[in-house]
Amino acid sequence: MNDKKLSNLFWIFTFLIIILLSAFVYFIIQGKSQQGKAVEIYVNGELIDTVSLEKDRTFFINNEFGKNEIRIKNQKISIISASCENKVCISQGEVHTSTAPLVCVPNKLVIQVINDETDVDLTV
Amino acid sequence: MKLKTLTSIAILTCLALVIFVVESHLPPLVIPGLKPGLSNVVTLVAISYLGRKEAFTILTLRILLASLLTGTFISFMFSLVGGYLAFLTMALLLNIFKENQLWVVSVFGAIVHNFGQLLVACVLVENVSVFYYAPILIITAIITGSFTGIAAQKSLDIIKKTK
Repeated sequence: MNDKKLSNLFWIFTFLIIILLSAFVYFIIQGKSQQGKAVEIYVNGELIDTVSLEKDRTFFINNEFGKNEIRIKNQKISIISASCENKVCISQGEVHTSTAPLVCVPNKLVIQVINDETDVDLTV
Repeated sequence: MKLKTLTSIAILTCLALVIFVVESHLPPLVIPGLKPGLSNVVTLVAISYLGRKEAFTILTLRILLASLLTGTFISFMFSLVGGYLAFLTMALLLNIFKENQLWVVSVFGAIVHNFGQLLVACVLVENVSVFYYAPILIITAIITGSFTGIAAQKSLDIIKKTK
């Protein structure tokens, strides 16, 4: 076996280990997740509201960066329409755990599911 | 600047631009907004075949023109930070790795590229929770990076044969 093959094998092996480690970390995070009770809505890094996931509803988040239509259904939250151009936020689909936030970068919107139901404002 | 170099830069910029625009219309892989980064094949070929300076020119032109054609200011920021960080990494690593190990260089470039984009997302939304995507982005960077690296290697072999 020559040097090149050995080196290639070394890197294939290294990258496989990195893939396995990443997958492990990912599943650990996933495993810890549970059905959230409420969501925190951040615009431009500021917490603007906390909304319960218990009640189904549809509402808008309007600000100087843009407009997003949010739907809560069966304790899952999703962005169903947005004024941004790439619509990545819509394709993120429904979220119900605290692991992955819903993010709309152009509109500077982050929706983070939380697990405790204290201090939930139901007026939105 | 020699005429041949100028022509090569023009052709490769064109190629990178077409690949980038076509790719942006493909459906996303695994997670939203994720792309295979096929235009990196052109950057890798340019870096090895023409040189770092020329490759940097091609990359800059491609990002600027692609943003004018399809993008927004946000996508421009993502491309610029990710693209330049990946370029820097690959330009440095090419000193260490031999030319026949372009795929390793490409993988590191892809990983740094994804981290750059994550950083931009983090700064733009002012929320660190986007780093949740880091493990998935590392895995996909290794896969897409290997692929683009091997593609660039094969392209270079063909270019060298026809010369």
